[in-house]
Amino acid sequence: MKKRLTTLSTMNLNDIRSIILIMAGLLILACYGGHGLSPTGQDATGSSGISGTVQFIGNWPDSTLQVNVVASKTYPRNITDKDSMYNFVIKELLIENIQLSDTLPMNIDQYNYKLNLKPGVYEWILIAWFPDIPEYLMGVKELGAYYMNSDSIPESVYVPPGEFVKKIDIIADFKNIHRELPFF
Amino acid sequence: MKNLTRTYQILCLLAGILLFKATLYTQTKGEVEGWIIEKHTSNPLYGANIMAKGTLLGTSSDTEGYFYIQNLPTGRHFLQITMIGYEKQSIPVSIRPDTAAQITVQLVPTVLKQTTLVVTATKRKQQIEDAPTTVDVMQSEYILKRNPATLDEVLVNTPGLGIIEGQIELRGSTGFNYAAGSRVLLMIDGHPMITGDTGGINWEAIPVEEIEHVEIVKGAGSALYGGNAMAGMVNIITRTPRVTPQLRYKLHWGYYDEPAYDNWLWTDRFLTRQISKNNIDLQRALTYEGMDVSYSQRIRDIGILASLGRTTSRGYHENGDYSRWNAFLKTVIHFNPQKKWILMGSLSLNDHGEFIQWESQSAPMTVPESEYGNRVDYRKGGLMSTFKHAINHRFAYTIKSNWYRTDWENNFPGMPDYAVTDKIGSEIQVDFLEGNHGFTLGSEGIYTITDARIFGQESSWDAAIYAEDQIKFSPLWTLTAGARLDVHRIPDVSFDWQISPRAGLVFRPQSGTSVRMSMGRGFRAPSLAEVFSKVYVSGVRVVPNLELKKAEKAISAEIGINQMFQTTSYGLLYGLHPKFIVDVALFANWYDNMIDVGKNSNLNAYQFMNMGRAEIYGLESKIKASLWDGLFILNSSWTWLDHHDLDGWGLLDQYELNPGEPLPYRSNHRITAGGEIVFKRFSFGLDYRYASVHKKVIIFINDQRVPMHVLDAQIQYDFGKLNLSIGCKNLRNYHYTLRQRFLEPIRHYILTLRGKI
Repeated sequence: MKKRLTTLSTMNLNDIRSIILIMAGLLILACYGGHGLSPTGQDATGSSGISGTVQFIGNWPDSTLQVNVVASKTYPRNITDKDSMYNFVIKELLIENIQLSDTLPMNIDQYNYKLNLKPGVYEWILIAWFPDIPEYLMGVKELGAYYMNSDSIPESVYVPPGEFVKKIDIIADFKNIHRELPFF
Repeated sequence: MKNLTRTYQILCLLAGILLFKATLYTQTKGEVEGWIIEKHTSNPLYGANIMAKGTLLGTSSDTEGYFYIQNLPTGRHFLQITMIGYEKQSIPVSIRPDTAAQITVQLVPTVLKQTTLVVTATKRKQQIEDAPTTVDVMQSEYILKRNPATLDEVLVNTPGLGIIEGQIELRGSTGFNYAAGSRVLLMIDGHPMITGDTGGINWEAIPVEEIEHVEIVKGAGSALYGGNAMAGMVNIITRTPRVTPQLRYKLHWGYYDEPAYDNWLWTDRFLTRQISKNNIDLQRALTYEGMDVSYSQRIRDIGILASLGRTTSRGYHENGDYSRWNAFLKTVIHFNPQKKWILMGSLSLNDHGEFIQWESQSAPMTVPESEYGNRVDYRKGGLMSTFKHAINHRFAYTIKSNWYRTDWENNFPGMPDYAVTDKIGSEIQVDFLEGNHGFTLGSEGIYTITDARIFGQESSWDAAIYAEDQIKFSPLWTLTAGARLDVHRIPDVSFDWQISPRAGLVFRPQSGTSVRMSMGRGFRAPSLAEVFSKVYVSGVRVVPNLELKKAEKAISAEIGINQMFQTTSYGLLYGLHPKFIVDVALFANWYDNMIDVGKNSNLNAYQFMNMGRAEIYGLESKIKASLWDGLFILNSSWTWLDHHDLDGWGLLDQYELNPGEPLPYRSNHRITAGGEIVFKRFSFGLDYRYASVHKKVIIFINDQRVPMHVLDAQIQYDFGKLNLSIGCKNLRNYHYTLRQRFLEPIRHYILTLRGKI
């Protein structure tokens, strides 16, 4: 039997339907799954975090590079030396157990902050001062942290899913830097 | 040095013996000439491969379809004629002394365009069905239809292959290690294109428009190619200069669409850093454009192919702009049909912004304030020389030498950096046929020297000898066995040597069926970057590790089957006329001393170090189908991987006590699917690729991770001398990351005009 060459003009309706169905199938397969990544603020659970006021005491040093609100899931109770502290912070930063706010405006007395955080318990919420030196991460100091009463250990804060915990107010004292240990 | 000298002494002795033996084969010789034409139209076919079976002699047809082979021993021979898109032919021919035999060969078109000759798997031309490991081939036509800016954009459609930040991830081999060492060797016409310092790949230096085809070989290739080929090779074969003059050009223009979410819009930072979310005009200003021109001609015995390309882009994200120049020159001097010298040169200039990580997931198109304006200025160039001589039908030798330079500097605030690295290599290869044996022997030497702020002034030496024998026991069975001895030395730091054996068996019980089995050992010596890197970035300190002396090793095994199905009776399956090629492979890799980033507690810093053992198992299946006599072509593949470490290693403490963890930056599933309708001068195609979520990553482990779902589409119309195409990449505007905090390209469109004079 002589073989008939197929072209689009000689194809019947079923052939064309089949091609369209295959291509449509590929398109449907490929379109499954939405748009992938989404902005943090558009999660179905809604955004969560903390907010409050930072009260600055004393003069801002000229050597200030930046100041941030920092939330850490762990408070380093048993760390006493610089190197261990450095390692702790690096590790926690990499796995995002430490979160930073946007940089706060300079030379102000008071600031109302808002910090997006993933739900969970945060043991250490503090104000971090970054010096303007080449290896600034080695010279970071704590200006103040979130304390209840006069405890020597900061107060833990639980951030529920989809909620902002308010009134996490902190005093940042340039005259009395609480911790001498570097943490970045 | 004493070892290197001895290696070359052995090589010279070996070459002398072989050349002496070659002279013993001088005997009465004859010639054959002929024409290759298309069966239905009788048009001459340009570029068909003609090989005298059982010899090392061969050539290709010119634009008149003419070919000529000399120095064939008198007697009866079979000429094998192969060409992409045509069925293979084997023609008997009688060679008489001092008389040129004449033949005319008619090739019949086939709907499944599959390359039949490959060179990468065993370092010499062979039928793809005889390769003991999986070989994928990507044709020029396939690449150009998709209009990639760089080859990696289209190479990711290869089954089981992914690319993260320019690094090739083949069947789970590399993952992502911040461009500090590649486990897959990239070559251009058999010359390594791996940078000397990091072992990275410069995709911008590859002339996409001048590619003839790309061969992707999977599995341990160290037995022939050494260290960087421990997981496979990608060999880019460039075009041969044309006999008749031809000027080709390409103009392209494209633009990036808006992201799927309004609050991801970012303003034109060339004017202000304030976000202007509704400024649509500025969004549409994110364009890219370019032009390529190439000229090819053969003047008497000298063929020349020269190309020049210019591309600019403003990028789809902040710090995403680039300005590139590319130049490529290939000269082929034909001393006679069996002796030629190929000289190639490439130069690439690339001034581009650098995007290390995004500002936040709420603003993934912009960088932190401190990284705004970060740029890198790259200059890369190379010279590659290949001399090939088939002394007679049983002996041939190839001498290669190459020099590859990378030179870059950045302007990062507080940490400006630079690196100048030269890599100089040479290789001698001898091919020898004896009975049913096909021997390949060779030696290779590489010297690398780098001067960089992050590495210091360092150098390394590599020398190797290798041998492989391919034995055809019968038309059904082919055995390949060989080994390579490598010596790696970093002065005052380390000295290491490795033996990499490999064996493969191919069984072809019937036409259209091929069963392959292979097992081999691969290795990779630490790159200069892994030993000497000294960098402080984003709070992480990386320090040199002069104790990194052990090469990582891998044993790879594979068993696979390739089967063609074809219906012969019309009307079967509703007139689909289906033709299928199905390929299934099972593979396994066992790694030891795998090199990755680890923490050195004593130094409070991070280093590259030998981490431990790991294993990767997998299955890869592919199907290529032609329906309605080639009107509809379908390609699909699925690769499944099971990968985990055996010793419990990783960057962070929480991984260290958990052996059995998945390896970082590997997907367990990869799917590719593509459909194309080809009707006369019109074609329409879709390409889809999927990769499952990386179960484990090294940093930012709490970031949102999603699978990859990318769909590309292209329409093309061929006017004859002109070709117009419109493409859309990432049609669905799907947003994903392959390494954290770097958004892969959003939806963009490209209009391309190609022409030839």
